[in-house]
Amino acid sequence: MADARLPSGFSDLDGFADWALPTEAARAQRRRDSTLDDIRKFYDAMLPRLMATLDYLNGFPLDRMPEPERRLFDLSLAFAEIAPFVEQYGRTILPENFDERRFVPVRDNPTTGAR
Amino acid sequence: MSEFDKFWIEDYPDLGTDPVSTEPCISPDYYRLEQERLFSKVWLKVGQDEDIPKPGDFFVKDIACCNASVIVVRGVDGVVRAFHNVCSHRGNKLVWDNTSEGATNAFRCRFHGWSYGTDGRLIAVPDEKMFYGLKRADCGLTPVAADSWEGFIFINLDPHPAENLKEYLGEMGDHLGGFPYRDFPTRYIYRAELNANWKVCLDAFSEAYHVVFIHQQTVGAINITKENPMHHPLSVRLYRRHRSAVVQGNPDFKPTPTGAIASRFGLTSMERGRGMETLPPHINPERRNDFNFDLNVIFPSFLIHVRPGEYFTHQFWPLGPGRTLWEGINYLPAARNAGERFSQEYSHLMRRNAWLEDTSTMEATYAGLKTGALRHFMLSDPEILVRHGYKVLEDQVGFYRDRARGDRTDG
Repeated sequence: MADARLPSGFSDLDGFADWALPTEAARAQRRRDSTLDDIRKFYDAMLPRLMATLDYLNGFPLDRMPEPERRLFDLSLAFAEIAPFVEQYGRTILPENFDERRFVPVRDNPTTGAR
Repeated sequence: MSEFDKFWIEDYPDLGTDPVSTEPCISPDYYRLEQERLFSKVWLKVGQDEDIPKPGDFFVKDIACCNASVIVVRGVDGVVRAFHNVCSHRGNKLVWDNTSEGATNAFRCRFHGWSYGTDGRLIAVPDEKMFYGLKRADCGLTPVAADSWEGFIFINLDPHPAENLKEYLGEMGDHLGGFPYRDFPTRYIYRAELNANWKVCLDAFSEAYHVVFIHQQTVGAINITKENPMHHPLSVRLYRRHRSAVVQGNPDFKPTPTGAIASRFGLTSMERGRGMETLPPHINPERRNDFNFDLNVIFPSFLIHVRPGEYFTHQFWPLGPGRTLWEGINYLPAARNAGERFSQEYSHLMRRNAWLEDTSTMEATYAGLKTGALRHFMLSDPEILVRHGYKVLEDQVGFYRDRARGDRTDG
């Protein structure tokens, strides 16, 4: 899909572009809906590219990124969502039984003070 | 004895060492007294200056346990005031807006059109000539005491508060004053409604005994040191109502691959030993590199935890004897670029995961207490903040004081 492309230098990650979701709630839901194998594949592909990704994105203004860069940025935030579940938990949901969906990120985090 | 095995009760012997009754957590009578003598009498944090930066900005805070709805507004004169969200004519709710926040020059009741200025004065009454000697000056909005400290806005529902906010905060105000709160304008906010008494929730965040167990896979290794394997507090300070402790971190913690990258772009919650110089002199005064955070409970249920590069808060609002609104907020600097924003995302998600672990115990604990099986909590010395909490709560509420006097509400 032409409209789901990542910046040209990061086309090796194109296969994971559907993780580039715009909200924390959506990224967490995607993680919960995935298998451990799914998130491991994403983790293994993205981790070696993470430094390059962030160095590259630092060249763009945070609030005015072109679409492909914005998508790559959302992909990096999705990586932040799944990484602890690979590195620490070895599962896609927390071992405790509290239903995460009851834990509501307010106003699609983050908010600055100004309302 | 290791420096970590101090018994803090020696500094606060008046607290005693007896088991602590579970009754305040489950008794509907205790809850009724809390409504009457606690939440409607003390200063409660309801927001921050940054929530209403400009004249006319306002928000509405509902305080369910006091059946109160309060408008907090910055007047055209820049002063923050609070009023009951109740029209002075027939008592209708004044601000109905779903989002309960906005900016306005005046509040107009939708029932009969009475209008009030942002200073609460009654400024317009439709068909005013048909009233019998109505004096507008006597019919302003009912004020609620409001004051601010370090940018946090507090209200007090008592029409005549026994103390002003500064007196109420006392030594805690001095201890926590001077932290650069305004340097951390970005908020990551979570809310959850929990089927538990508010104190069950508060207590879960008032000790670090649980860290070894509940947080084994998240923040265990990063906090627990070889020398202090049960994660005892590094210091404890108990005030007249408020309380404080220092939670240790493990400076020898080996970060995960992602944690290491996140740290290259910003100071994260998953770091130990960095940034101590950013703290005010009285927080971690010895500049120990095993300092994780300064845990502070502002009576009754507002927690401010400060550490290098960020602070985070919890607040517990009773919705009933067995239901609580929890709000957790991570406060971080404004991210200037994608790397910093990524670092913040990793940082606050690690804390979210730990909070999910914390909240997982609360409903089960409350359900357990509700069975009536347990009459008393056995509290260890590192749980001294929990013990202090029940002591100062009873000082305020007087449930057992009444009982000892033989007072009965049911005759």
